[in-house]
Amino acid sequence: MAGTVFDPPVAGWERRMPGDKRFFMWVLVCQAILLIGLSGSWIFVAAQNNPTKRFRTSPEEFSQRVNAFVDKYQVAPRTVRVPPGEDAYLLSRMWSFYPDLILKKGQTYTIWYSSVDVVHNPQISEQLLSFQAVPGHAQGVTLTPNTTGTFLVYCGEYCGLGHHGMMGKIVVED
Amino acid sequence: MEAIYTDPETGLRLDRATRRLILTFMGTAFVILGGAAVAALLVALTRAPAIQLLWPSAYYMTLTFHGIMALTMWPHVFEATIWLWACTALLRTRLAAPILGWLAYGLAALGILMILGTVASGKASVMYTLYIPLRADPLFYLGHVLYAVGVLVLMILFGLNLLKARAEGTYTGSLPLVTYGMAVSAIITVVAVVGAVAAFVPAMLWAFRVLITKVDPLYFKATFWAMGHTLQYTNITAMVVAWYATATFALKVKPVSEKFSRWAFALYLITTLPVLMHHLLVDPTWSHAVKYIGATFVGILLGIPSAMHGLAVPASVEKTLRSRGVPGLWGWLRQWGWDNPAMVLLAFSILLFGIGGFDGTVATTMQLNMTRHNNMWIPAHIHGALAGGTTLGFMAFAYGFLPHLGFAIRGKGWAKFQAWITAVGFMTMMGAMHWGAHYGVPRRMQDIRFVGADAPVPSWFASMNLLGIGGTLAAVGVLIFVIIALTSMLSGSKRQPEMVAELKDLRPAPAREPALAGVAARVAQEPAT
Repeated sequence: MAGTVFDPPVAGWERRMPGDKRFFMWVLVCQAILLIGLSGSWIFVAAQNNPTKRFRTSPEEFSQRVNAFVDKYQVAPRTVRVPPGEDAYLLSRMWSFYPDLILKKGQTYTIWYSSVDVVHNPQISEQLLSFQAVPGHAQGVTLTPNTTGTFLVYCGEYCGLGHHGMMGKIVVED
Repeated sequence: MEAIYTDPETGLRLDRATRRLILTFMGTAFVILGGAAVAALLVALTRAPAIQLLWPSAYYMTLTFHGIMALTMWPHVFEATIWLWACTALLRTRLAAPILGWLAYGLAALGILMILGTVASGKASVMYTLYIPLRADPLFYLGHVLYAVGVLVLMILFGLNLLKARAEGTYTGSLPLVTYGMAVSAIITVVAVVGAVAAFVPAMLWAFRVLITKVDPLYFKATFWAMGHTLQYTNITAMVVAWYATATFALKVKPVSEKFSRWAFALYLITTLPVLMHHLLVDPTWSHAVKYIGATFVGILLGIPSAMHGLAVPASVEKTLRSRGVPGLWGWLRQWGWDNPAMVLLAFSILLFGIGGFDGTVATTMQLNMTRHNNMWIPAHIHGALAGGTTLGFMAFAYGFLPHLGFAIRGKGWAKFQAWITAVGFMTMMGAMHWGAHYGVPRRMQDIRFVGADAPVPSWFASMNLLGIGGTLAAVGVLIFVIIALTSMLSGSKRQPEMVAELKDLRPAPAREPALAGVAARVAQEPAT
């Protein structure tokens, strides 16, 4: 079985790799550089990037902020019309998202989100957007809605037996 | 005096103490795989909206079972057999201290029983993303700690044996490629055990309510994945070893370039260090620089060693078959061995691992991660890389390894059927998962109808029903494999040991001629194309 993977390599294995193997390694290195460069330059040249606005908080403090926000702009029970230019808040808890947000198409908003109990993951239906809501940490995503409609918000992180019933709503109006 | 078993095909020799240990680990691994496959069947039938078999509490418990058994227990317990074999038979030496192997087995088995027991009691349905402050039974965390310590003991034994063989001079030059790969795997495992201790010791104290009253969820998430994702590279390195070994068992192939393969193994050591970052891409606290360098930059580099092995293994088969007279540009692919379950599983393991690997590269790209985080893309990645790659790779390895240990494979027809149905099942399921992910189907959800929603609910049923079909085929295929493997082991081995006293007697006996002589003869009879 000499020369197979069950035996120590035969003498001379440490010599320079054959040319086709070196060529293949260079192809792999080049495609890696291309992908790394694309993702890296995207941070600077494009608008679609991961949210980085954040602050440390506590569940109590974040709940107070959300309640103050709801009291100020509430238009219906647990529904808030966010004025353009104002920051919005989205609270995750077992097992709902609070409040429902009404946004205006073409306006830019920053939505702050956090959790008051366990880790949640608000996702916006069919928009492929996913935010991690972690207790003790608030994070803000800046986005400009470009589609009108009513969007279901649901949870992607397992958070207990009511996980699949955890829902919220974002409405985008003209 | 020591009883030594010799495999006439390869000439490799194994002493009785090591062999017992190997068989114990392997039997346990097959039982765990069977459990994971039963859970997988139930999960697949629940995720298909046409059936929706289980109610919420049962579904989340079953999914926890499936995740833990298929993701950590089955691959690592099976890898223990490869580790033990690679550091004894291949290095022509005996185990330095079999008692350490039994200690490792005992600790791991106790940990496994604790984890599975708490999950079965319903107090630990937390998935394998058990982020604090989701609270499970304290014994659940203690079980993880025991399991990690057991794995660490096994790594110590493996390291001791490498030193022992080197000191005794039982081999010359570098390690055999299989042992080299398993050594890389062992180093990655030790790194992962550090993460496991950092994650689970505070979590355990928090769950027992002693000393620690609060664990930051982001600390736990980072350290948990420092263990969790790093351990997946233990599996991947062992899977690559299984690829090389499967091709060697079936066709006695020689690697195209030892240096190329060794470079690829060594690259894993560097590129796997920051894999925990892949899970932090949408978390607060981390800056773009950390996310980009830790996850995207190094994450894309991770694909290089895997792609190198993905080329080297089929290339080894091709080169070997050509050297035995297989003609034509694609003749080697026709002669691959499509009637040999091990080679069928090997081919689909490489293919599925490739698809899963590309999924992972997409998901770890910083901007794309947000569109893939926690939807069906992630199960697609896991079922390509881990289930499709590692599980199929290990099943292929077992079809060569069981006869190597003297156990005849029972039900050869079933084995062929099993290989194809598993491969087709996984391909179908992967297709359905990608389809669903494209429309944002969330993962780990018992019900996707969203009863009572006052917003439009997307219809995801077609993709998820297809997932149910694929998942059922794959789970049934794996279950047939478990039955074949266990009956083959329980039927016993006819191989008789010989009693030897001298250490040098562990040197291999002369090996038989390559098994492919028959194929080459058959090819020679065909008209040249």
